[in-house]
Amino acid sequence: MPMSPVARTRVGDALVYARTMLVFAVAWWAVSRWTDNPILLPSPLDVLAAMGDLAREGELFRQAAVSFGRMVLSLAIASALAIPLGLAMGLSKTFEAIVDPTVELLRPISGIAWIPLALFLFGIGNVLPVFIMTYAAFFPILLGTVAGVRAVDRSLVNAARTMGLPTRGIVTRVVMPAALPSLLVALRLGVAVAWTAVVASELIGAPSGLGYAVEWYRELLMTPQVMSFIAMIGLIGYICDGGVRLLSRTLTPWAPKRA
Amino acid sequence: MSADTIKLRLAGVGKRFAVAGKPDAVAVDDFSLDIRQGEFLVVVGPSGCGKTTVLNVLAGLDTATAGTVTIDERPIAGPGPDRGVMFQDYALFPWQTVRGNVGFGLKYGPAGASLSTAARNERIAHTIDLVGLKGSEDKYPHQLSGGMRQRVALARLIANEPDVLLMDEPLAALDAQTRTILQDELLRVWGQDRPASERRTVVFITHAIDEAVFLADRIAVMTAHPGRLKTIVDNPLPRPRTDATRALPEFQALVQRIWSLIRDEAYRATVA
Amino acid sequence: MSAATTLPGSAQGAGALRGRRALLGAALPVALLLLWQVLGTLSADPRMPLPSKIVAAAVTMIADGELPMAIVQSLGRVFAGFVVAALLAIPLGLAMGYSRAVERNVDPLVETFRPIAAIAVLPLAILWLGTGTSAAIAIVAYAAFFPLVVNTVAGARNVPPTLLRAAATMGLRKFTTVRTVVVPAALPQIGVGLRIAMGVGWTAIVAAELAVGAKAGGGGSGGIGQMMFVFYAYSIELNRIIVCMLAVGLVALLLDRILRWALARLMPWSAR
Ligand SMILES: Nc1ncnc2c1ncn2[C@@H]1O[C@H](COP(=O)(O)OP(=O)(O)OP(=O)(O)O)[C@@H](O)[C@H]1O
Ligand SMILES: [Mg+2]
Repeated sequence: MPMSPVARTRVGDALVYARTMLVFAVAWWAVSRWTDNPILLPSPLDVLAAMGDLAREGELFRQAAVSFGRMVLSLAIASALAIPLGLAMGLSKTFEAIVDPTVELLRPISGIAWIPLALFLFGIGNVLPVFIMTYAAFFPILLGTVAGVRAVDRSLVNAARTMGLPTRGIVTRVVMPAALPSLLVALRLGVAVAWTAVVASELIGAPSGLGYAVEWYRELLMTPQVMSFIAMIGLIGYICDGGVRLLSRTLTPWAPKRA
Repeated sequence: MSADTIKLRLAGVGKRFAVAGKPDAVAVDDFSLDIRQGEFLVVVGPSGCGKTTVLNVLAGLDTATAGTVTIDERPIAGPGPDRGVMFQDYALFPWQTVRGNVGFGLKYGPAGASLSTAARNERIAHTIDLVGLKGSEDKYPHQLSGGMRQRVALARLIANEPDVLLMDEPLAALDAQTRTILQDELLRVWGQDRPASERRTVVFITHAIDEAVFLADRIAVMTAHPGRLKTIVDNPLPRPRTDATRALPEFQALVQRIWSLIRDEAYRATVA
Repeated sequence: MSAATTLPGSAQGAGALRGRRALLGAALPVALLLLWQVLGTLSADPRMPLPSKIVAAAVTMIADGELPMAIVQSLGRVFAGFVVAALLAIPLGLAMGYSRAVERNVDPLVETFRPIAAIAVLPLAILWLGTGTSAAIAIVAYAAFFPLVVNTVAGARNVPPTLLRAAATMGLRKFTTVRTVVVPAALPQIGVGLRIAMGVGWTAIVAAELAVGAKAGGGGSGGIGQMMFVFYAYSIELNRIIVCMLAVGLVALLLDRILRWALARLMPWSAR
């Protein structure tokens, strides 16, 4: 019984979504007819056609897979570095005092500002985007882990202690699960900044990937292809965000839902 | 206008709240009451019996799910500046100072539309003085004590000079002395010294029975589960009421009577 | 020190603790810099950046006005884009937060374009606006727009209902309510949006200038991002690149501090 209004809203939302996007597409189409310059503003139909071609040739997915693969690799490296460091910083005041100022000195320097130096160090290739994204994702994950560990209820730790858990057990059985929701929120942020960085670094310093493809087709003045790849960037960004949220829901079903 | 004109009329009013996954909660059931023009009506009853709900229906902030509510024989469709409300949780604007909060309705609502800026400021200053907040005009709500906040809310209501004052436990957070002083002031604002036809109409919720007896023309006693009107007690104590009133044996007797009416209610409410 | 002098010593203890923390915190960067200096001096590569050379480069770059000029140029673009974004996003966000109908119809567009990173749109901006300042401003505006909309909507949506009710009982009109209640209540959240927007705007401008420098050659339009690229591409002056990186970080930090200070001034009511 309480299911039906939710379902109705879902369908209704989908309809509203379709309507809005249709209005947008029609307006776009009208403007493209009026400006009448397919290089500056191709019609949405041209873009759809180009997208279809790119999809059929497989280039769309090939480049997407390259960028996506780089991001997954970067997130893995960033997590492998940031989570243990964050745990240590959260657990030990002394360690935090030693490391925190260095982190705070580096953090305001955005990943993108590293690109010229990275170009010198690694040249154009696979390493550069992975380095930039790892750097970009590192800080949110680190801060999220520290905040999560900090916020662990002292009484939970004490409760575990009264049950005789060793320190190791307290860390793995109490601190880490309790810090997990905060960590996952941070991971979501990390994904967002990493995905922004992937485009920037591929645009400048990689011979492949979505960012590279966008720039490549711009130089060829093939605007429908440019827009197709831009759309793909948005789509993957959206899917990744949804993926992390899904991960949060499955890993921490007990955590309060956030918008 | 005769003193017996009906200002507000509640006829068979009911209010249910939809609660997810449960049958509707009945907050108020079959509530009928006529409030006369210029009357000071006090509502008492155990916690959760629906006093605030009745007040919200009169304010037009909630719509009754049964019955009719009218003001001057016209149905109440929504909130309006003719009915000022003092909220149980004060509803002060955190970004406004004491002066800004007291003058909010005068500045942004129709209440001060006919006033010059000078007259407006005059009234704001006067009202702040009235509730004893002189010197705190430029403080923000978070810098005030609970009692001071309550006085700001009271001053805001008074400054707007609405026809009908709907007050939800307006003096509950005050110390005994301030409370006594403000009861006197409230009676003055209401128009205790004027003929009944020139008085404002007040609906006043309180848990303090001596306060109810001191202020009221009539006292409406409510019961809980569901919220209903139990009885209406007339208050024959003469006006103007002063400190001497509290010493009268009739005063004490009336307090006792209301208390005994409420006691079994309150008991039932806590046990239920 | 005798026990008597250390008795009130909790404050003193805290001070000592803070001193110890500062010392610990400084140790790591200092050690790293020393190590870098020593190892770098041993290296044979003359291009090897060294802390001492970086300091020297910074001094020259500041003294000849090159670095400040580039920063000012980039900042000008960030502010322009930021203002454009704010003028579009805040009214839209307020409308979306206040009216369900607007929100429902506009949200699909926002949610569709939000995941598209600003830099991805840069090629289009270059196509439409050239490699000059307007493309850079457009990218900043695009980047700043989404955090601003999202936070404004959240702020306008979460106005405490009791404040809206209070405004309604004072007879405020819709537009006045938005101006005097919704906007101030949403302001803290809008402030969060402004800070995020400033951060992403600054990142975006560096990226945009870098990309323009990389793709349009050195003849592009200047700014700190392009300056970095020129140092890489034409002279491989790593010391100078690192000075630029530090400047990018420092400006990001300062922008946020200034904005935070300005917002605190703007909202004196929010208890710190
Ligand atoms: N929005 C709501 N949804 C569901 N139930 C509600 C809602 N508002 C009030 N109620 C219920 O209606 C009943 C009456 O509430 P009301 O606030 O009118 O009580 P009250 O007499 O003012 O109590 P108090 O003296 O504690 O202020 C309570 O049982 C309350 O739980
Ligand atoms: Mg109440």
